[in-house]
Amino acid sequence: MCLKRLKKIARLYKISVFSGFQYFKADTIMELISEVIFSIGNILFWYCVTDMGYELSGWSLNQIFVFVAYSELFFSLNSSILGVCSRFWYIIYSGNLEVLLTKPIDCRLRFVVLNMKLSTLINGIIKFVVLLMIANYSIVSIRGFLLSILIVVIAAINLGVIYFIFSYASFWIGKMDPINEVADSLTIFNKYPLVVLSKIAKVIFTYILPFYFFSTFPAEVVLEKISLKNGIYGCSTLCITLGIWMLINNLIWRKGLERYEGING
Amino acid sequence: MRDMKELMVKYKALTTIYIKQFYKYPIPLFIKLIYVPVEAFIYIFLWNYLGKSSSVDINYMIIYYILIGLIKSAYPFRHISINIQRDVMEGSISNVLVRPYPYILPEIERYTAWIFLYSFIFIPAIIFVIIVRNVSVYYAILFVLSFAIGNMIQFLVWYNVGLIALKIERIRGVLLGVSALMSFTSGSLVPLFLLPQWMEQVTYLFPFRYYMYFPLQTMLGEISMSDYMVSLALSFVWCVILWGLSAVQLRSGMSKLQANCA
Repeated sequence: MCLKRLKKIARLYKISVFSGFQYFKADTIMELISEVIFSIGNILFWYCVTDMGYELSGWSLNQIFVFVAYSELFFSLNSSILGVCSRFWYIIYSGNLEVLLTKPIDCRLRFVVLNMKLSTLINGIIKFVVLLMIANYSIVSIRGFLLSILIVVIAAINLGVIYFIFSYASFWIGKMDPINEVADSLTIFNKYPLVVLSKIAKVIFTYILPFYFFSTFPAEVVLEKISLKNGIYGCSTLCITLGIWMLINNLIWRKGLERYEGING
Repeated sequence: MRDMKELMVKYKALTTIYIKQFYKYPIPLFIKLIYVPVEAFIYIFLWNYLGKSSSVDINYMIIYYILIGLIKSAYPFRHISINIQRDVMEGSISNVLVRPYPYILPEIERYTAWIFLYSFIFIPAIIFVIIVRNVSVYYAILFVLSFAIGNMIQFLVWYNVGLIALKIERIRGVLLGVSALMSFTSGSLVPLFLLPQWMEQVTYLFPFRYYMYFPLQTMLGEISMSDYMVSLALSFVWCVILWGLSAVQLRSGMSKLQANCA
């Protein structure tokens, strides 16, 4: 049963991967180049800041590059796989949901799989490795590495779940295209280390909206700025937060479906 | 003259329709009220934190980034390109082309309607900055002028980007590419005076600095009158270049266009 389901997902995935390159080659290549330019911009920002004599207390330039590497990894995960969750409102708004509900795979999972961008993910992983090499990977703890990757993945899934909840607002409000802008604007929480926040803000962005886990926390784990024990504690907190958000997600989804009306069934 | 008058009547009518349409969906406006302050909040924390280690004026950096954030997200420019891409991909561009006005006109109207509505947020925010920063009336007026021309450039840039869809259909990568280039050369990533000299020279090759860095410098009173006039003249030159480029793109794109929605 599970294998059959996996096969279906794999088939869908194959379609999504090749259609981008097949039909929009120039645009896909342009997209990859642009992502590299953005990363260079990130590095340039920190070079200029350091050059001006500013310091991120407790973080050397190499350690900041490790943060940037994690920031890039999270960003690529988000834009290649889970960022699309913020566009799910269109399926609801356009009245196509009931068609998708008849398919043998959960329509949300199907939507994510069909919109995956493998090229962006590969590009992100390459950038991640290169940035770690620039940062001098000897400062990276091997022990914390696997844990940090796990944290990034869970944080990305968590954000995807939050995006879905935003999208469900379409059941009540209708057109929700500003959600795309909000989703894009959330990337600012991934751009700078959130150690700069005040204590209250840190609590909010750790326990309620888990933005601290996007790239700041994984970088702290891998740089051994926090102990492995605290790392595992943080990871557990993240899992609990994810569980709560998934619960809210399912609750709103069901309430939304009760309200839904469409003409394509 | 009569044609012009007729065109203005159509222009006015369509702009009013767009204003009504956007007014019916005010959520984008409210959402802006959330995420623009959130961005400002991050910058304030960041520069306050960084400022602990340096004697450089952090207030300047904070106001710089808040202003950049405001100018950058004042109006939804990227929508211009996205709309054109949608017109091309769905084939609805053929419906627009048979109407008795140029293709650029509905885009200008939609843009004017956005400006009208978004100004309810942007103008009070700018007035707040003017009061906090104690900007003189003289520089405030110069800012308005530079910002207005900057917006014209911004519109034409994204209109041109949208027209690329006539050649390659999907322009998601192009949008991202232009945004990346813009962050480098407009001063939104790093203030341009902090860039290495050769890199700062390169920014003159692109129009982006004229709709972000130039109005910002004016607002902060960091530009001499002669430099202001030069930048203003160059802004006009960019407008002409971009206008010409859009005409060329539209003509060559139309020869390739295939649509079945007419």
